Amino acid sequence: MTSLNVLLLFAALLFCVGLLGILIRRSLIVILMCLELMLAAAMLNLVAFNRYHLDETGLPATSLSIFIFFIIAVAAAEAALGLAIVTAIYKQKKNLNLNELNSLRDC
Amino acid sequence: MNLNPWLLLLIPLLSSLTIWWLLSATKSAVAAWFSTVSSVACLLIVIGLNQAEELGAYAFNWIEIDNLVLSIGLMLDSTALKMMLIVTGIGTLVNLFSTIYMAKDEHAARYYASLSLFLFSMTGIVLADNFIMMFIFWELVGLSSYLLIGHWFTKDSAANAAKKAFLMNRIGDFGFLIGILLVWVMAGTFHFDQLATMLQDKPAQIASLGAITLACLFCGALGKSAQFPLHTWLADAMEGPTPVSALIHAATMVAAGIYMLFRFQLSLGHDIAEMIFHTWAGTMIAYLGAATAVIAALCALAQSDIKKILAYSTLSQLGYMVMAIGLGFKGGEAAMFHLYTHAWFKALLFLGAGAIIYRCHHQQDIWKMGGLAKRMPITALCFIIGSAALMAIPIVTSGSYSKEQILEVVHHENIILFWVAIFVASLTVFYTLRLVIVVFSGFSRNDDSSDAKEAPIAMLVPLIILAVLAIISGLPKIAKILAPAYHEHPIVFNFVFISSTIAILIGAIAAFIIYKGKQREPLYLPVLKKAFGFDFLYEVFLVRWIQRFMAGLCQVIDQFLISAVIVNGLARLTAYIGQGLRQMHRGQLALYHLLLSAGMVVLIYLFVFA
Amino acid sequence: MEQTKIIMIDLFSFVPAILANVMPLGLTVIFGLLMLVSALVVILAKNPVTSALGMLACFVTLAALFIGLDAFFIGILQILVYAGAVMVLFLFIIMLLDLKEPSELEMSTVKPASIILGIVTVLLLLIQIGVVLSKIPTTLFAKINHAQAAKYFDSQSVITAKLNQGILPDAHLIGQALSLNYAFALQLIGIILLLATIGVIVIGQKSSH
Repeated sequence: MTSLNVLLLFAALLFCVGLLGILIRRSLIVILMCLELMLAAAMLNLVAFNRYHLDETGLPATSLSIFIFFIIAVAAAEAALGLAIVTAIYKQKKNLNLNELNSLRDC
Repeated sequence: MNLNPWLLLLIPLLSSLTIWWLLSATKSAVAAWFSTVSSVACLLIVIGLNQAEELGAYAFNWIEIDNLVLSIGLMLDSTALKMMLIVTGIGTLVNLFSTIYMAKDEHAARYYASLSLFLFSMTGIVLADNFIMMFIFWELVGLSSYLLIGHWFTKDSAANAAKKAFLMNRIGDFGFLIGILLVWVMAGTFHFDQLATMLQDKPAQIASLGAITLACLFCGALGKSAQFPLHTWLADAMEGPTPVSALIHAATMVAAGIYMLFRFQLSLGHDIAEMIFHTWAGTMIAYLGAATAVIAALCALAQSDIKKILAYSTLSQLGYMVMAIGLGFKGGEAAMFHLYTHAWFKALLFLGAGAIIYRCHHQQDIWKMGGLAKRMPITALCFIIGSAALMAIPIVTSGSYSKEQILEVVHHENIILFWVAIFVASLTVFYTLRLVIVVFSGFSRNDDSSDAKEAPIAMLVPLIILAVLAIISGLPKIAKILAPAYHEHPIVFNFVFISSTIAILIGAIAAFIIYKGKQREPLYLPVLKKAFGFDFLYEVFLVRWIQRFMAGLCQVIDQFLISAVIVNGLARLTAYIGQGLRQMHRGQLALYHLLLSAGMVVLIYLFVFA
Repeated sequence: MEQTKIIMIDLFSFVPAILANVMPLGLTVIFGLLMLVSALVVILAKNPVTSALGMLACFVTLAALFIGLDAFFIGILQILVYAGAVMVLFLFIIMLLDLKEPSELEMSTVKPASIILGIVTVLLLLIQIGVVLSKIPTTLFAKINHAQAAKYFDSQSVITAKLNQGILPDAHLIGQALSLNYAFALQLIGIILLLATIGVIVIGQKSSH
């Protein structure tokens, strides 16, 4: 039967893939997508624990479900804002290569 | 009378400090009389102490560490007190003489302060009751000599001469200090009166360490009494004022080396002293003294500066004394007696030379003087008496008594040195008579000396007193009262006496023949005039390399070590670290991501696994 | 719209027995692997459109996993919001900015050292996770007892009715909790979304000159 360990493993692997993507890729859009992947991994983790721990009614706790619901909402808002920033950057620099975006340097 | 001997130290010191701090702005006469009065006071105290029957112990402990006790104390035995007579006597006369000689000098106050400081230091050496105190005052004497030789330091040659004197003294003092420490190793004490008792039952120590100790102690005498090879500073020291040469470089400071060795002999006692001095060290001392005597005498007969002639003659006589003292206890007594007589007539000669120079408008070349016997009769008479004492004219002068004693001892101990001494005696007569003939007889050779008058009264008084002493101080009755370490010694017409008389005659005849009536120097001896080129040798083979080494060392330490490594190095290290840390702020997002992830991994490790 | 939603969830009532427990291991593993493969596509694809589509597949399989874990509402919401809105937004921006595959010139500025360091860091993390996971004993999920749970609710409500039927009324439960307990939080979420909208508009404005 499906055990908690398997799901946690998959969530961890998804998180690592997302982290790898952030560290490897140079395009800003792809990095944002990998960020979403990491969030999704966290959500999978939470959902697994949601099903694991049953409250006194014998059902999965609704408060955790609401928490996950809020995470989805905030993640969506953050994705939208990130994409707006990406658009602004592209308008300025015509380039989304991470190596070029270093104007915050100390010189 | 209960006179406190500490006053002998305090009066000159206070006088020096007072003149330095308070009187330097006043006229030179005030400082001069202050200094003279203080030295007269010291003289009176010394005479009083000599008369006194009972003298207490005067010492206080300065440093006590376990069984090492260093004290500052006064040893008031007869040798010391009679030596003090010489020091304060000549000190007073020199002070008196300087009142005229230095009257027109602008910095006379500094001169008198240094003079008082010198008297203070010399008193310390003479009255010291242990080696360490003697060493301290030894160094102070070196300092006073430096100040006095370099009195006119604005003249390059004077400043260099002062530096040379001090440095050569210092080199000797290095060996001296090692010798003092060896005394400690050998005997376990520094005090003179304990040496004999501590060494009584240590024959093994004496046998093994005695000679090397003596050799190292002699290094001090090498420096201070200007023996070969550290002899070159005395001739240059004539850059100082003439009264200074009279006091320091004739009578007292250069005699300190002899005095120290004699003190050592006295405190060891007759038997142990004979044991230690009859080793290779004693022989070395004797031969070095003889070498100095010969070299100096040879150089003296080619000089044309009156003070340089007298300086080389001092060197030669010191060589005699060192030669004598190296030959044992008897030689030590003879050396001290000669020191005593030499002090009076050499001071007389130098002060006489000072009077002549003063009246000849500071002309020092003997070939520019002449016929001064008629112009300055009293001065000339005193000078000639002094020269007679130097030549050791038998019976009539004091110099002969002491020189006879030395020759007796040397004849008894070492025949080679005896003939060397006879040769030097002959040379002494030769150059002294040369000096007298050229300066005083004949006619004046130069305008400077043609209008010379008799010396002023304040200069004549010391000259007359010293002339009297030059004649009578050798006589047994007087010597018993005044001389340190006197042994009744009748004049015996033996081989020694005859050979020395013949030597005197040979020298005199030679000088008369060669120099009578000459207008210019007849002999051409450049090697002797340049004093065998020792200065040049030292300069080229020693000084230059030492200076280069020191310069190199300074360069390494200052420019490389401190500048480049420490100061610059620290700056560069800081900049380097800063540069390294700056790499974190390059504005590269990828780097930031990497650092974040790495930090996260580290944190997980620390919290979960460690 | 609401009726459609309830019908969709009701469709699952046909398999009550299976849903008493979570998905069987095989299905979990299939969906999990598909998810990982899609994630790898996201990070390895050169074309950003390919990346976006990979992400889409990832989210869909993720939703399947959610549903397999009895989180029906969350699963559907995932597809609606992420696949429906966020991915569309991504694709929209990619198309708008006309992002192409990175040219040879751009790829050459990549430093191999940083890539290797990145891989190393992630590997270390994986090792740490692996060690931790290996120490946890295998824990299975408990079965949901619907009949038992029904006793805790008001006998007249839809929730009790559904529970007696053996269905987990996810949406109803969450709705009830949202309205009763987390109403204020709901309003706040609304404000956050409003702020996001305002922010997007402000950032996206043309510069004033």
